[in-house]
Amino acid sequence: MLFNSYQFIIFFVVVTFTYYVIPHNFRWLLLLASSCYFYMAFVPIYILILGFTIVIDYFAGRYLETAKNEQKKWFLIASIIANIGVLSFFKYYNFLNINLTELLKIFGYRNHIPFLSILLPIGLSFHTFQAMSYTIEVYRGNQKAERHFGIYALYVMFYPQLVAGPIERPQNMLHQFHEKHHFEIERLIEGLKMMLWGFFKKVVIADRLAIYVNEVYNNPNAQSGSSFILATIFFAFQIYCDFSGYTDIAIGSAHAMGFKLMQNFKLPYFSNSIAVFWKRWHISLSSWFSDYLYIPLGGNRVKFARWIFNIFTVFTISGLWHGANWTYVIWGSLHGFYYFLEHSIKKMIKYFFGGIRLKSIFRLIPVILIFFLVCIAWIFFRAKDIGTAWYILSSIFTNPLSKLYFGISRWETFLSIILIFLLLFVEYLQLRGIVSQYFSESKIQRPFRWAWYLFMLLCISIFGIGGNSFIYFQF
Amino acid sequence: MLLRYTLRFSIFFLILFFLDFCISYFLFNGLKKYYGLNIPSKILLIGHSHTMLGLDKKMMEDSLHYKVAKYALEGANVVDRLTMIKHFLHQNGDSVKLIIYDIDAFFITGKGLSINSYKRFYPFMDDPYINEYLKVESKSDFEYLFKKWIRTSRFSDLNVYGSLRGYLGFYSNIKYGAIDTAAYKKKIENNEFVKISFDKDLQSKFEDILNLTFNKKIKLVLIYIPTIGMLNRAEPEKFKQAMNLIQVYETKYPNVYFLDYNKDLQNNYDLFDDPVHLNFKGNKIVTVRLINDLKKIFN
Repeated sequence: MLFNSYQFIIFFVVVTFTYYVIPHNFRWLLLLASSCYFYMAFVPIYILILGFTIVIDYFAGRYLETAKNEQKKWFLIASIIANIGVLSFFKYYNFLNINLTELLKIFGYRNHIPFLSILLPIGLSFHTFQAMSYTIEVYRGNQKAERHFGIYALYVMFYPQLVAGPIERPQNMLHQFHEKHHFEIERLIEGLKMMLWGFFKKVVIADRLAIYVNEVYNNPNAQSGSSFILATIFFAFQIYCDFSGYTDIAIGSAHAMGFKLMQNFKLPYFSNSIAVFWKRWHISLSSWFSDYLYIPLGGNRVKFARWIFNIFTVFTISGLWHGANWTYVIWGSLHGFYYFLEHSIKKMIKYFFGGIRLKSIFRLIPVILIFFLVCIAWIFFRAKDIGTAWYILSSIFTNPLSKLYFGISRWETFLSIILIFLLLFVEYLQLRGIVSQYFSESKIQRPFRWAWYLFMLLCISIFGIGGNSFIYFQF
Repeated sequence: MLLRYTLRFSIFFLILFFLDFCISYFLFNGLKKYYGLNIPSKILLIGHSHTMLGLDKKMMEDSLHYKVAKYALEGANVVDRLTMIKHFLHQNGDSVKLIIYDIDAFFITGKGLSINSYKRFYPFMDDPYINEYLKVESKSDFEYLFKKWIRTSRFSDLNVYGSLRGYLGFYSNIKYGAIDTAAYKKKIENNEFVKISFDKDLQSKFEDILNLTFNKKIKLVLIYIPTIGMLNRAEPEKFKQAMNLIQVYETKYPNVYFLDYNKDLQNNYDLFDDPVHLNFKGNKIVTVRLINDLKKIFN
């Protein structure tokens, strides 16, 4: 069941209404049952895989709490192996097998391990990481093990965030399932506003941009440098609106029932450095990698060479998390390189010039530069393989002023450009604090806010495009 | 507080439904102008993008001194066109004397022209013929009912564009490009092209169109707006079979005329924007030829 479907609207209304009607003691059961229903709408049998990891982690958590120090480590390792094992099998089996085949070929051997036709369970990467954060936090003593099996299962498979995050922490989520949430009309309206903004970004902007992006990126040999530039910029906003739109719908639908999910995006394309970008883009994932990989490796409190290793390890694995393809690995590594380069340049500037403060008009330059660098990386993220990515990159730099392909419909392409400017304008107002992230309390008067809500609803009605899955479903 | 919010909600939704109605009314009227559904026309152009790009309605009106309606939608297949003809005739009574229907070797090649082409007809779902068609084609009852109640949801951005063009009087669709014949030749060699097939259901629907026009005493001109020669020669047997079938229909139905402009123009590659669509040059040549042939037909 996709968020942008009639079925989901009915599902959301029924679940939210029933949630407030039934007694608190049964609410966890309602949410768990509806989450199961939501998940099984994709591939029903995969609920067994989810169930398997839930059972492993539930008992791992219980034993971790009571076990002695030495035993604790083994329960944690068992839980991580189970989670990573499932993730690796479904996501990376064929990728690893292809690479093994190529490697053996070099040495003149054949690979006898068969390839499997595996359908990736939806949201596997997300709920796996969320489950691992639970066992790690219990191991560290930051979280008590959840006694109630149903509540723990709900923590892993709560439907708003089940398939594409945000990747929550047990400290934030578990206690919320025990709390009684009273019906509050303002909170319900807040949630609906969040969902409205999410739907607008997803079905009006993201799905529309996808039309041009797919045309260009799926037929690279027929395209020119200028078309690749436009398609890459479009893709940057497509992936942002798709993912952040989905997250807003998730946050909004949870908020309507009184659950607070963490913010996952904070106007990332207004970042003036790569470090800031990663504090604003997919925050739940970057903070997960920071807390559970980067810091345990030593973070930046190590020698310089080890720090470089830590940076590249985290970013490369982050890239691999997004997909089983070398293009994702390069995407991640490229961001690692950017991070390293930026850190080094900042140090040099501080050393030689003691720090620089730009005049306000020049502060736009780093923002544009960061956007440019991020777009270069997006080429690898979107291209089907490394060869295609290099071809696109070289076309952009060798032939940037070539004849532009306007797409099957010029009107749609121009509409896409208008929508990008509209998005940037709204986000600029959010950046300046004139409009809040979900258009609630702000300096804008109610009639204007209502006009904006009406505008979004009518745009969704007329310009909304259905039928596409969310991009991040593949991760 | 609940009462206050209920009142706000009610006012908000009243405004929403009012705007929904007004905007859909505005778009609907523009779209009627664009397709010529608002005025009785003597000549009706029915087809898909071949007609949109291949024929100049304004030039035809100026030369023939008849009102011409161009009711062509991208990807419109035989089933769509049957519905379009019924819709137009229902809207404009007995005004139509001649229908120009674009045809080619793919005229009954399955529904592969586009997917979900039925969605283009939602703006007209208040018409009984369109409504009947949509009830069958809609992916779900919920989708159908949603579009019935939320009127703006019937429109897509292409409809909006068409509507604006209807108000502004911009009826022409001209492409100024040229086909890359070398690249397309490679595609043909790699077998990357649409294959001709003969779908019996579509053939039956096509015959319904022939019978409908015959019964209503409307002349039906089947016009082959050129498609590129190398595509036509890719499957010579099937191409010949399609042409023979069209000629059989022309012989069988006294009201049917077949104008084959493809025969001598298919190898003039400078007339094409892409393998199946004419550019501005091809548009002009074909429209002029059609005007001259229509004068003979009318006489």
